[in-house]
Amino acid sequence: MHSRRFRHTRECRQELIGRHLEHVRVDIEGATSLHSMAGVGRKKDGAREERRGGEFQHGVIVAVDSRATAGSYIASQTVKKVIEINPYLLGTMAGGAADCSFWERLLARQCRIYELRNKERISVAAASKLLANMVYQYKGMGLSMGTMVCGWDKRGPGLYYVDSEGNRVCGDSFSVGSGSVYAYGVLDRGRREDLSVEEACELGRRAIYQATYRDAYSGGVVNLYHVKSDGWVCVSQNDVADLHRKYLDEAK
Amino acid sequence: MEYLIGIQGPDFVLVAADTVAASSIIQMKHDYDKMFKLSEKILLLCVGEAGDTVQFAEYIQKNVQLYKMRNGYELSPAAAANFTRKNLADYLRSRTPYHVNLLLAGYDEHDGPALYYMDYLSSLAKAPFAAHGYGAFLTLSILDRYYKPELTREEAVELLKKCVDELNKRFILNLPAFNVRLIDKHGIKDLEKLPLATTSTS
Repeated sequence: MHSRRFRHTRECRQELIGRHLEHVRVDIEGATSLHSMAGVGRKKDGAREERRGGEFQHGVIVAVDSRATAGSYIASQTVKKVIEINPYLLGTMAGGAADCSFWERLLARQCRIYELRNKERISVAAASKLLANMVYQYKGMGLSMGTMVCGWDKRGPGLYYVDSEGNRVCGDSFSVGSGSVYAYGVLDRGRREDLSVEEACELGRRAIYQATYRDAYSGGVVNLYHVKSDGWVCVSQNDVADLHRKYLDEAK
Repeated sequence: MEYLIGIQGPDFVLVAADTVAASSIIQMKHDYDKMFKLSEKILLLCVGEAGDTVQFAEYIQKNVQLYKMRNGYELSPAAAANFTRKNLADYLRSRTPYHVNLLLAGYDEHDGPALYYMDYLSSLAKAPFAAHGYGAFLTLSILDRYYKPELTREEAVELLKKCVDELNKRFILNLPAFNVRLIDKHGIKDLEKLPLATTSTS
């Protein structure tokens, strides 16, 4: 299948070596490409996934790294890749930084309008559908965004993956970004039915750490959030180097 | 990568779709439903480009429902198929064509069961059996060989199992599970997911 849609991924991986300094500055300000492990969001809920049997019952754990790159240059190690849409909805960032933060901020606005109009919080499904429909209008025009919309609504915990290609899927665990493949491995093998909150947090942390270990475009710190029935909390922030030392010591 | 199949019997249509939602080399979801219920007795199976599938299928779904609300009666499967094809054709030469391949299966009180094959170039064909995807190359000949117009429901399920077994044997990609549904005069019924644990793969 040969689509005439513009393939934006190649565009983001431009070589900066040899370019004029002016251009480098523009690239960083404009659309710094976050080719890094963005998020590992996991949600399991007995009520929603009855046929799967009881899995993680306590909400959604969201773990992200914090590295931003422009080509092979590390532009920042302290990026906030979890966007707080509202007190019970989180969005993660992968792809173009500008695209993610802009569209998710727009989503926050839409969610607030929904609340005002309907006197009710928006569901995670509806919020993710709003985002998916917004970016679908720009399909093929070069947007680069892969995000997970995580929250807790009246149907329980919710986790949706939405991207600029038009994908929108509901699931109970996802991994997004350039390092996602490494995180999937650790995440899938470490999942169990009876995880406690601390174990789930540790699994998310470990999955991100393993991704930063192998993927050059991921690194910095691991930010961990937990979305509960009464909203999200920021659980921890761990530098990847410290985690490396800790896991190395544990292995001895 | 994605696979759709439909088999029409004398008074039913059996359809199946794989349940993998993939993005490059990763399976994002193992239990993704590619069938869209247009009405009580019409199913639209939709595969193709990310985003286009859901957007187009939901657009058709809502319009079929709107027709029912406005006019008090439902579109027949033939009318729904032609409506879908017309939409695909209208968008084909626009700036934003929908790259989707479809199977539309339905049961009409007067005309009986119907299976329609549509592709992204907006061709439409009513067929006794049809398939989409790379898997179709491996299974169309099986359907040619073993299909009979008066096959029973059990025979249709057996024929479907033959196709799935062949995919498990020869298709390079792993398609671990298939959603199976049957449409007849009583409506849409979910059947057991394939493959079963005991299906042989020889």
